[in-house]
Amino acid sequence: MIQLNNICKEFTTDTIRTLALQDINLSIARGEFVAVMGPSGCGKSTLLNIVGTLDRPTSGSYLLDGKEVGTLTTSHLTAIRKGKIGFIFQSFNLIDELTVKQNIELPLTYLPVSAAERRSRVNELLERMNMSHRTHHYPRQLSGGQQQRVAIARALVTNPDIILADEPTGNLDSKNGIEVMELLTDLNAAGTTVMMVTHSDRDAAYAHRTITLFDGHITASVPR
Amino acid sequence: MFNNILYSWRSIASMPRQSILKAVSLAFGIGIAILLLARYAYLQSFDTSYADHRNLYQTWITWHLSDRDLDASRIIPGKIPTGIAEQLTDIFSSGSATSRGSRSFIETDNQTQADALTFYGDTLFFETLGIELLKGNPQNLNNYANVFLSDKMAAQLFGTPEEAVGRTLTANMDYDDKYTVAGIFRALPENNSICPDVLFSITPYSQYFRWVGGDSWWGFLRKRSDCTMSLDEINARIAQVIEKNVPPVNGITIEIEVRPISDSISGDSETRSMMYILLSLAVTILIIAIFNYVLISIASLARRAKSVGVHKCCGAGTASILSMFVIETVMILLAALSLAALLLFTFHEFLEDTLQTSMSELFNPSRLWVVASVIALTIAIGAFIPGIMLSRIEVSTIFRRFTESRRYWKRVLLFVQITGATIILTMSAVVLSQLNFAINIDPGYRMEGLVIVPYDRESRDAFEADIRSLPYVIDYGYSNSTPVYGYSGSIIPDDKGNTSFSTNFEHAPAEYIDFIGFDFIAGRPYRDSCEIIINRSYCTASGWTPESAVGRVIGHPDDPYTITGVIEDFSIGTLSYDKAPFAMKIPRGPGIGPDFSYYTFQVHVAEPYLENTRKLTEYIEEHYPKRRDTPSLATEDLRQMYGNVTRFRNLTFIAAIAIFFITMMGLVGYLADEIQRRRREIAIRKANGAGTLDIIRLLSTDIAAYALPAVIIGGIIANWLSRMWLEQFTKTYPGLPYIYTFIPIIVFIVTVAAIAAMSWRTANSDPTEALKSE
Repeated sequence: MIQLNNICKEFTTDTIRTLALQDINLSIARGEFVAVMGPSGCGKSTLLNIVGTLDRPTSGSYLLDGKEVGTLTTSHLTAIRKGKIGFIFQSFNLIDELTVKQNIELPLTYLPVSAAERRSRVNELLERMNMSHRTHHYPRQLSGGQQQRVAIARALVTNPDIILADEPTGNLDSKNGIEVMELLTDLNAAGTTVMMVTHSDRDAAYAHRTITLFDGHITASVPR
Repeated sequence: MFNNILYSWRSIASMPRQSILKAVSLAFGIGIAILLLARYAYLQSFDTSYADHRNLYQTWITWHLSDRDLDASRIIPGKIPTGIAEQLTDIFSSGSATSRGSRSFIETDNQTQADALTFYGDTLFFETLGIELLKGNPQNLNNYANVFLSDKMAAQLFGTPEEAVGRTLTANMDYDDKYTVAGIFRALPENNSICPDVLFSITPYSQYFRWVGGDSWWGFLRKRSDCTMSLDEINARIAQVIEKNVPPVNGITIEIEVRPISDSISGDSETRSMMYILLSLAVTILIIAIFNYVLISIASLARRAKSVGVHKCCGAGTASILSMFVIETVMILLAALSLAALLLFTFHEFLEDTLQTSMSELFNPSRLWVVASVIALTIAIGAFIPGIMLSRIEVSTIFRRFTESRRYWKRVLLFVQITGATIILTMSAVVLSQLNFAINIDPGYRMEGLVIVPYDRESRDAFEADIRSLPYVIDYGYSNSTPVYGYSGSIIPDDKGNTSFSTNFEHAPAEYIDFIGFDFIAGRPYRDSCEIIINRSYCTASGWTPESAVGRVIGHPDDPYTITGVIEDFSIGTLSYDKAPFAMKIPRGPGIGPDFSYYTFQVHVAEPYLENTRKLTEYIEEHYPKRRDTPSLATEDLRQMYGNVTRFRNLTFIAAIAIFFITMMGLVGYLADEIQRRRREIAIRKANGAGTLDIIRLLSTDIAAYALPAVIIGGIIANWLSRMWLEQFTKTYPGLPYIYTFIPIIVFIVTVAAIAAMSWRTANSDPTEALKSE
């Protein structure tokens, strides 16, 4: 499903040139659960951005479902991302001024989905996440675990093929962290491809395979 | 779309302080800019409401003296337009002379009263001017007892225009003449030189119309629609007519030219420079208000990056993000327009007086494009610049902390704001100082407490005796005119009888010289009707020294006068008038003398001048109830003569206040977000030993670095604009260089001080909070 060939990503400023990713070759099959590990600054998030079409590689090829997307324009990337990829972030990244319901509904508003359908999907996810009683609350009124459940619901509301999670338990206590990981495992079991960046061996243990990055290179790809 | 509206509204509501700052500063800025631009458009479209106005021309006269030319004037002898039209029938279809318009008190036969703008016109008035006649025959203007009303005035006086025809009215209460309404014409908008409410017949005056003399009229000519001649060709033909009909006298010639009617006001140099200043003020305020909006928006980018990133992750494209920001701007703009409308409505009387135009006229449908343009420009700049920046934020930034400062943009915007604020604050200070200077300058005569007292011709002696006996009246005098109102002119010939220069001429008894307090620099006052005094400028124009002038004989050989003294130059009228030659003597000749009827009775009242003038007014109203005019204090008359300057002072003052608030709001918005953006940096600096002053310096040095060049450039531009405005004065406030220097310095100090004050709390906050939240 995801095929990265010789992917390089370079960041340049006036004086410094940084190679964030070098010759990354990676295949992720449909339905796989992959954990990406490595020290800070090794390129984990950059890799996630490229896979999520939020960023483009400097060189190399990125085939998503067999189609080259590494060279597409921003608007084309937006179109590909819509409904296909869901994102979960360490800091939840809920929009503070929207309610729980509106945050979950957000990706659907950029898709041709009727209001009734949107309502039905959001309600279904609210129940699934045990958040129905918080429908009209704002993010600041929720605990960290609840916020992350809302963020997961938002990622799932379009029934995406791929979930990209950037340290999804990084800001949670262990109990909430376990809940989130179990949710991701359930999703994966239902057929969703999951790629997760993590520093936690315990979280990585939920994945089928762990990829280790160091200084922009993949140094290991170990199935569990 | 609905969702975008919801997101935009939520975004506004989530930043209430910033949204209020944006709306209030926009309201001030665009409110004043719309007002000034509407006034500019009003002046720009002056004299364009007449039918086929492109073929309507006004006559201008230029007097050529032997040594110089006088400024071209619209005031011409009455025969000029009709005479030219009669002789150039291949060019003009008609010509008409009119009065210059004056306000009259109208009372109808059913005692309805109105203050009306009245003109005098002939039978060709409507045809020439292109004013639509709705009822009546223009030939009725041959009868002086007939009057034509505008449909608006007819409705005001008689209910409907139809009921007006045949009714009678009087003009000004003290005249007994009754006029019959003989016709109705369509009223023209206010921004036309000829927009009468009431048109009287010019017949009583037209019998005296000549090619030369009696310059009191405006002249208009309508070009034939089939005439293809250029303006230069037309004026060359007119010159031939004038050459034939007006031979030179004593070396004086006149030149008559026609100019398109629409150039009469907007083509006038003083009006043009005022329009230029209006436009500059409006554009400066508008740009500052919009840039302020952009500045506050850009300053919030760091705070908004996350939500933009989330929207993009969720599938929002560039257009969606941009449309959200446009919707947000439109919402804030609507709030700002509502607030601006409320402010304009609340202060409409003051604003109408300041702009000398009614709100309904300023914002009549033909000028709504001004509002539309301001809205379009605000959206185009205010929404699209930050909108495009927001929509271009890299989505990946939400995985990291967004710290992009957009410093370049912010600096440019703040630079423009501070420059604009300096320009307008400096100009406002210049106008204020110049007005004070003009009103309080030593005029060179005893102006303090000088009151001009209108009198009854019939009961003059008793009236004067009565007034003089009042305890607060110090002394009295009389003359033909006064230095405040100005004098009649007289041509002074040279030795060969050719015109040499023109002088102001005054007639007054010898006692008046002491009363008015002229300052002698040579000789003595005149004592009899064979003597005369002159001023320093007269000497200069004649090539004499004051001392050598005394004893000389001037005037016609049949009517000679000996110069007995020379007085220092004094102010005649306002400072708009240059120092000019002046001569004064005792009136003589049959029927005149100390008893001649056209004198102005003046007294000096004791202090307090205003209070005593009021007492005098009340006394006259009580004892002489039939009188029309009331006494006026010369200093107050002068103040009224500076009405345009006062209004301009008010305008710049309003603009300065608005600009100051807008800029301060911009600074507050900018600094709040700058502090937010640099919160971590500040905390780390403090953790590493930075003190309060170090943090204040950190935040203010940055702004000070570009505030300094901004105030310098602002000061230079203000100097240039002010000079344009100051051209109307012959003397300017000597302290202007200090204003050009110190106002920019004050703006700079206030800017830095405001930033320091706003930084104080952050500089004293606990750094651990900021570091913890990171």
